[in-house]
Amino acid sequence: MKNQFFFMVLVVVLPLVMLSNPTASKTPPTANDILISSRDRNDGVSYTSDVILRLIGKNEAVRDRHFYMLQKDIGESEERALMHFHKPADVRGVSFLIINHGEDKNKADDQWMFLPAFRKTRRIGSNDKRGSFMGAEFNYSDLDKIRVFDYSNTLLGEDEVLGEAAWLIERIPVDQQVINKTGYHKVQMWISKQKEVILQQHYYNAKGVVFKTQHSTETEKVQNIWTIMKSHVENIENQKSSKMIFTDIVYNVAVEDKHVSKRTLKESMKASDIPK
Amino acid sequence: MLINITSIIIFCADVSASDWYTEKHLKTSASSRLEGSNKLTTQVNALAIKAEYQKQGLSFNFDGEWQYDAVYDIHSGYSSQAKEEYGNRFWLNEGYFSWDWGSYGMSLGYQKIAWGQADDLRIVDVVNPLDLKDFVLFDLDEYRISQPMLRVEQTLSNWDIEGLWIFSSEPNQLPPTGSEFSFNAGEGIPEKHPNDGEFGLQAKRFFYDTDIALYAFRGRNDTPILTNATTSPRLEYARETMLGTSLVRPIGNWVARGELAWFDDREFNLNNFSTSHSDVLQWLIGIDYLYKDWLFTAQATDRHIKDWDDSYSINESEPLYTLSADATLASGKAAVRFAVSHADASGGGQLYQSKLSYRPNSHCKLQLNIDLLSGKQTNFFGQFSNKDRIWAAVNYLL
Repeated sequence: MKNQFFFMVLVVVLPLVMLSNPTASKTPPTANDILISSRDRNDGVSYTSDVILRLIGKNEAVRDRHFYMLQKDIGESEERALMHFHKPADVRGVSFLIINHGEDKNKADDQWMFLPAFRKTRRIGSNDKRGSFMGAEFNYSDLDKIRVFDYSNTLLGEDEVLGEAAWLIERIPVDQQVINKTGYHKVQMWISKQKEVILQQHYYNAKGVVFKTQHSTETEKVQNIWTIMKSHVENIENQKSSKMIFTDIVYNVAVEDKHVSKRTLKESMKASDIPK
Repeated sequence: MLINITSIIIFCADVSASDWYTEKHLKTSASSRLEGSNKLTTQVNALAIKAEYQKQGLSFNFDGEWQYDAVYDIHSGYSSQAKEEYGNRFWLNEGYFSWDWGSYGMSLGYQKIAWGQADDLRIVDVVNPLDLKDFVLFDLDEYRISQPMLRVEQTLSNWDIEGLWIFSSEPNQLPPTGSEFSFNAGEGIPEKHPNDGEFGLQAKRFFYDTDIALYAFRGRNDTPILTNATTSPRLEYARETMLGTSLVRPIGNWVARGELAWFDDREFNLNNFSTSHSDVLQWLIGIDYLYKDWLFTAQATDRHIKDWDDSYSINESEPLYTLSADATLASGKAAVRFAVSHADASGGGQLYQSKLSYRPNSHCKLQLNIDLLSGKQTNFFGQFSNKDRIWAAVNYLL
């Protein structure tokens, strides 16, 4: 009789318990799985956007810099992005072209910058991305896609950020080269379980102290693709912050190779030049 | 002429405000020698206008300024020729139309073309002449003279091709006698410059992580030679052909740059004032190192004159070395540049420069440059070793 009772528990009750708590029924994904899934999620083959880069000073003084962003996938693992600043006057005409070769290629990005004051397109080394992006608290490495294997990744658990269920992942750079490239000695990253986009990041310095944070304060489904519409970076050390605000995002537009080329870098661009 | 064209566009075309982008700047600047009398060397007040018009595939760009240099009315340390040349003048940065013609990009009008990868030095950068009013103390593009030309761009396979037809060649503008940076060379000797056409071709591509460019230019040397010295001396600008190449490749944290230019049968003066022809090879190597917000650059350049001997009036070799550090700081509000240049020939000479700029708000830009020159009087930099100066400017966007 006693044995029959235990058999009933195993056959009837346990499956019910497992059904009511699905996480107990399967092994959680690894940190790398989550990051790879986020990196490789469908984000279209191209997109265009108007972007406001908002620089907020210690005294809350605000300066906005506007740029057009065009991005296009070339083949399986190459991605080209062109950023063209058009407002205000002091940055008008400044452009960047970045070719990202994809992590599997194990190859540094190719980057060029056009400064109208010098009328020259300049090649920029991409092994040090700690510099400020156009005066913002974003550095150049913050603009990169997730690079999974530059870090040793550990899933710390689940958390809730901005009202959303998220995976919390701790990322430790695999070597000094990655630290020299990004300036980060450790990163904590929260990735939305549902949307697979980054919701929040904490950046640690050499002393193990958080010195910078990033929050994706607004996400939106555009053409069925979850998209970060507002990203806010706060530098705790210097008490300055920056926002990147995306508007008019269109995915899978007819961005031609010439739109993301060195030739286009030095040409002035206006809204009507952006392929829709 | 350009102003008339602008007026036609404004009044005759179906123009809306959204097709136009304009900037108006008020600028005032002053420079002062660090020693000697009459220390004030410039006091320039300028109204600058930048305008862009784009509609239905046609665009028009204009960037120019009216300058009044009050120094010529403040003291009489400079000649009347200098006052005539620089007292009131219009400086055209560019003024051109551009449009697409099929797959060709066309630009017609006054333009500046910067070839090559050198930082503030010219090896293959031979298209536009220079205005040497302020010697070489400002950034190169600020004293590059725009020229009327037709520029055609096309992408063929992986090559970006650029063709240039400069309608009328123009020499470097040397400061007149009695101005601050007068070279005192060729004073009073008549010039002969036919102002004929020049042609250029550039082909560039990105290949195996390397930016490669090839250049060809047929035009006139912007620096004159003396002819008929014994009978009726004259300064002439010889025709010449340049073939060149430039390469840029990142190596880890470094970016390596190289340029090579070959001038076919260039004409030179000899010590006895006759002339001779020789091929010239000019090269540059440079490296850039990026560290956070700082870009450090080192460059070396020199030339080799084939079959050179002691009878030539110039040195066979003129090595020049530069070191510089540039940064944008204070959330993009401040920019700094520190540079040292050493010209090794003719006893050696140096130029030390610091350039600072600060934008307290989006309308105002403050600038401060300090230029120190030293070396032998026979040297390129040393000839102005008594002309160390400080230059300050305020630029206000209206």
